[in-house]
Amino acid sequence: MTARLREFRRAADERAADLVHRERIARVMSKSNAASETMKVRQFGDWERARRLAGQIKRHVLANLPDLLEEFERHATARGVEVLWAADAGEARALLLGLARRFQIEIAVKSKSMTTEEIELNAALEAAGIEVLESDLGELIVQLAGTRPYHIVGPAIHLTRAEIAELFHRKLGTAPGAGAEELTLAARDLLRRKFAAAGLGITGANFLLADAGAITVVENEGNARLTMAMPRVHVAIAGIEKVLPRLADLALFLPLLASSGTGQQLTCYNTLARGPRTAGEPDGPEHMAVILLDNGRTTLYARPAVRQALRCIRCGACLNVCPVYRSIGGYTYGTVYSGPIGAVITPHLEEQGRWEHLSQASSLCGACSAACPVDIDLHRLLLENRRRATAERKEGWFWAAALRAWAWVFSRRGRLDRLRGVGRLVRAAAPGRARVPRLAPRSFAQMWSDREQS
Amino acid sequence: MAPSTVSVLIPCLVDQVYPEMGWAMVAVLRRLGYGVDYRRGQTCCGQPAFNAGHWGEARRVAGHCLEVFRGAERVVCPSGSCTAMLREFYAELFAGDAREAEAAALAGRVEEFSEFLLREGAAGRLGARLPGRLGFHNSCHSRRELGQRDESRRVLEQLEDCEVVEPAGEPDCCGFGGLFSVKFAGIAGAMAQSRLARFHELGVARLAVNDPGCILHLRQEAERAGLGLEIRHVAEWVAEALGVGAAPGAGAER
Amino acid sequence: MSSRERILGRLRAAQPPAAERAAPPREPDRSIYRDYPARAEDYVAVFAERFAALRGEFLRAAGLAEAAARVAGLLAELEASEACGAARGLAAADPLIAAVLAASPALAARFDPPERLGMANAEMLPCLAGLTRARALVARSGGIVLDSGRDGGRRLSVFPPLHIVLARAGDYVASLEEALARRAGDADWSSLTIVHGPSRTADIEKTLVLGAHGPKRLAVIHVEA
Repeated sequence: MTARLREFRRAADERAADLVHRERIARVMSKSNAASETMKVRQFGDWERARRLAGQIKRHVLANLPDLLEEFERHATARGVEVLWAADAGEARALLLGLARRFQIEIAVKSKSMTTEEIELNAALEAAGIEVLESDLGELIVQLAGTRPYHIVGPAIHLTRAEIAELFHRKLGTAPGAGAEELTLAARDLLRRKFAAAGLGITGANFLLADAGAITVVENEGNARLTMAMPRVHVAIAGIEKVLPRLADLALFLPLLASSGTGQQLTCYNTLARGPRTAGEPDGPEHMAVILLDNGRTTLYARPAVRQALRCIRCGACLNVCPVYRSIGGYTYGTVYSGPIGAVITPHLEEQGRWEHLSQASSLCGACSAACPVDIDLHRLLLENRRRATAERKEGWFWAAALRAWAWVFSRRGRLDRLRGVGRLVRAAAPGRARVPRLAPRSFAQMWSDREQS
Repeated sequence: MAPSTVSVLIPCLVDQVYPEMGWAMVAVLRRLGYGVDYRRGQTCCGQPAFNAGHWGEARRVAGHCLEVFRGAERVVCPSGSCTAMLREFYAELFAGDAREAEAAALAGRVEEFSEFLLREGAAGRLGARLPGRLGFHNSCHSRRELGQRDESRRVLEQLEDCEVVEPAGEPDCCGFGGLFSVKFAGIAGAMAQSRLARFHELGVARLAVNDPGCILHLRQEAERAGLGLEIRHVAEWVAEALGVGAAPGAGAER
Repeated sequence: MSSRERILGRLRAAQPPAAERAAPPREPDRSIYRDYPARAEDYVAVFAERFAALRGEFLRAAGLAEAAARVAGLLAELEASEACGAARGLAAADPLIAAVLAASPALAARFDPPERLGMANAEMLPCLAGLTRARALVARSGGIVLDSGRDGGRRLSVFPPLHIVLARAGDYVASLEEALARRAGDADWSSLTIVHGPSRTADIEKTLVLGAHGPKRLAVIHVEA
């Protein structure tokens, strides 16, 4: 058993036993899920059909990914976007720091981007002497608290209002015990001045539109719009898999993302950016760059059995419906991407990390697959990860040996009948004995023989 | 068309731990006029190893299952997970194997117990009472792999005066997941706790479940938590209503 | 080898063969969505309802003078809620906006003209109201499509706490698809936004709060004449 698995199990058991945490997460998730279910029915005549279509479009994207990326690059470059390619996190950081130095940036504002978490950008910028401020409220909260995002879509859903009020009181000087509105206003006031002063705005991208050469950023607060409107330089960092073939595809994907992600018909702000300000425009960035990030995605891509995981639009629905996630919370996974999607992709994105145990920590209930708006067979991919780990001998010796013995016994009825007594001994000696059931005095087969002579 | 003979697939968990569930199903089928063929060589469908990712071992045991059920025309099974294993997963397990066609053939001949009763129209012939409130937990394999939203529920609702209650929304997993509940007992226990809490809110004292694995896991948690909850298989509740077949010697046949 | 070449190379090496690359799926048809307004004459009413559900404020004005009065009313409310003196605004360049402002010189004096749209960020802090048209108003979702080319740049519709949109009957479309098709082909914008109501967040215990970073209030004044 690796140290990582031991630590995961320890943290998981601790979280699972924490009834306060479980109750809090259950409340938040059931609200989210109820809103999603209601909205899916309300706006889609046939949600299953909509998501199958979205899945087919994403499958088409993946099958044609290199060509679509080149198409995106062509159109974006024609409108003055600097398109850069980063093989890994280190290169992405270096490219961004290079841009910051070139444009003599002192202050940067960021909108919410899991990709920037993935490449650990903030620390690198700060080390280079650049002030970095998260502008999304949830991200700002975890930044002030010095922790990581708890959930893909709601970074601070694990904190109560009281805890956030205490944090803001300490760090921003708001009144103790402030309400949600007052706290939001404090964040708004702080950030307005920063938006005005920042030289660099950093965003992610929910979608990269190949035919338009445009990025799409989806949000509710408006901070991403301001990040792309006020600083003189805008840099977007996006995984290479974020491509959609056509701008028109947004008509399907924006409602799907909103329904599954936040239970909304559509998110408040859906913004396309396809270049720096044009000659006739009064404002907007003077320079725009897009960094296309690989960082293990091509490794995942090269594995056809799991490639469909790259369809993911990061809506967070699989986290919201996962009973394991609801029991252990987002931090326990120890990864950038948690929940079912995180368990599926992390072993491929980070081969050296040995994250196979995350695929084991699931009952394969299938709720994730049922909730995915781009029709990813998530629980089948978890099973595929398990099969692969076994085939590559990445699991410990114990279970391999145990299941070999099990297969030997269970491939012949005679062996099974004769070894029932051994089964009793195994149970008595097993660690976690309470979890292994007590055998009946006679098996069904034995009772049948006893009873049914003919 | 007069009912005829069906073969029964007895899940390994029923065979070894809960034989009374198997007897309940056999008794119900016989009461409805079916002949019951039990092929004594059967052991297990292979799912525990399959779900753990050990497909070589799974294939070995599943291959034996194919041999045992060769020639069986209709197979009935009191477990959504075993049924799903044969119907949905044997194709993958035997892909490219010489037994691929045989696995596909068997897949088309297996039905889950409640599914079978409804399709045969037998559920409507039960003519029995089970008065009172009865909670129902639908297993994940039944719901998501077999696409059975309410088959077991509808069977139970055929019992007179039986008020079947389920928590609102999609059913949450009980936390069994085969070896998952052994490897990650803490998480699995929390999941069982959460699921039972939903039934506790509904105030039921009796729970019907259509999968032995869920029953094993939920009973363990119910006992640990001291909940006075009677958790039994759908087939057992139907058998009780009909007044038939507990395991021989375990209680008089009424 | 550059990273670009390496990434594209790895993708091409693993790509399914040309014969197996999925054909592009058909256009999604309307039956996927349940809630389309059936007839063009319903667009305004449906929009008004959906927009209001998003906490947008839908106001009607019979003509230019009434529209001006509506705008003045919104400014007065702003002054009350912000506890400030005479609220100043900034207007995009547009014939309808110009006509409404011309209908009330007192109102026009409160708005900086479009020449001021390029002001420095710090200068924009005291600007409390942005006045624009829209490329399209989407009936199905209560959405408003704006772009940086014709709607006063990028900041105007997001930075001031009050955003006012002047609309006419011809601005409404049934669906997002139509709205996107209308503007996508044009050359003169670098940024386009589809807005659904005032700014909001639920990051604190899932409690809905309006006015996170974008406008706290979003109003549409539908000018009949």
